[in-house]
Amino acid sequence: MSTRNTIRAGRSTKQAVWLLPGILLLVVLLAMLVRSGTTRNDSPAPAVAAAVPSVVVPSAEITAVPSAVVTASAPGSTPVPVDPVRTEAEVTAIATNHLALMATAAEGSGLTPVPAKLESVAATRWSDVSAVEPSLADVPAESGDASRVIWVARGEGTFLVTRTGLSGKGPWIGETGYLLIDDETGEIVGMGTP
Amino acid sequence: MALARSLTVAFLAAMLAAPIVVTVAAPRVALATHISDPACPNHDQLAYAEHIPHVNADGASSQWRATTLVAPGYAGGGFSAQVLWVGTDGYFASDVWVETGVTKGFGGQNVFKFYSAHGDVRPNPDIYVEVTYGPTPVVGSTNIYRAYSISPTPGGTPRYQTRVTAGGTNYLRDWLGHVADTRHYASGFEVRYGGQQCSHRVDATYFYNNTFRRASDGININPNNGVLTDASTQGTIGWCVNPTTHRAWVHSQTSGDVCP
Repeated sequence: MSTRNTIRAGRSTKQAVWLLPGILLLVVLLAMLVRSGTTRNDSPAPAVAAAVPSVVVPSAEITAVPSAVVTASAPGSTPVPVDPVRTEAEVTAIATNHLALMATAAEGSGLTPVPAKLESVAATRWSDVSAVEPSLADVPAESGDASRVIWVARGEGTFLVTRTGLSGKGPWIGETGYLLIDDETGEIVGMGTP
Repeated sequence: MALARSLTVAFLAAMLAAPIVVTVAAPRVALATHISDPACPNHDQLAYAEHIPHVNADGASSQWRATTLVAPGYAGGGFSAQVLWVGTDGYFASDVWVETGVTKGFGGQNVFKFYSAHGDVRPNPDIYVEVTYGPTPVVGSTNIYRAYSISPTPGGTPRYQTRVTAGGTNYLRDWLGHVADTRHYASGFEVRYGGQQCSHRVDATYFYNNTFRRASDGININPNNGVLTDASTQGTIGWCVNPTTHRAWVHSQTSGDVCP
């Protein structure tokens, strides 16, 4: 083997040393991309083509069927286009039923329930939830479920807190608060007080 | 060639930047248990190991395998949960805290979910918020639960961020109104019966890597001290290596007595 060929062979070996980890990294990155796409499909984002402003439905009483659709009015907020699959009436009914259920549960725990009275119902994305409920932080965009649409139903009622953790307190009631309802499933996905 | 070299350097840099966990060695001690009360208790159940960081900390994390949780009292606000509680603002986790974990029973519904919550007893009335997040947990899967102080942008509102990583995806919930430091944190189980006494169940699981994040450098520290607190009468808590690797269960027929 000539000197020139020996140098070439050495270069080839060096190139192989550098190329091998690079190729491995590319394979890992491709695998991560594929996996990321698959996982995101577990939390499908509702369609957004038909841009509808976030809706806030004033409701004087919990039994009233909301009739008006207005834009979220949190100070400094920008209306967020969402296309909820549920109606305000459906969400109001879910919130009504839940507060009634919690009132019954509270009585069972020796607590005095609070009459329910919804003040507003609004739809938004988790990533923009502070526009509707300023006490909540927007969910970071990198969170796997940031684009899900939720409803925020705020008012008075029996906001029963049972997850009292290390506080040593028994169940207690917040007299004002809000419920968070997933637009796709209709589940109660959150509760806050006051 | 240049691309391969760049990618290799990036790969090595990423490896070097991986989270560092410092574990303080501790002597192995015997498993601690106590005999369950044969009578059905008319109260809720709580068992956990708690830790007080010896230096300034700004968060904590824990890791465990989700096991079967049973909560037939869900309609009455009942639940069975495995939880990480993290104190904030220099308070104990009993007073000002964020928490995250896995729960059976949420919002009066028969659901199995990851959840996040925060509370603050300083204002009147108290603040309390809870949400579910992420996908449906898988029994038998191990997940990492974290809660750290963050400032998302320069001048942004300080907050604590809770996080669970499931199926390779991160799920996040931030809680406003919380700042460092973390003076106290704990992990274990909480059961509220919701009117269905004696029927809830938490199968045993090991809580481990119960680290706090040292504020000065962001390194996760696994302490070798802590206190086991067992407020339950039909469950129990025990430890294997030390209180940082502990286990807990209630009403479970699968508690076992073998350390990992």
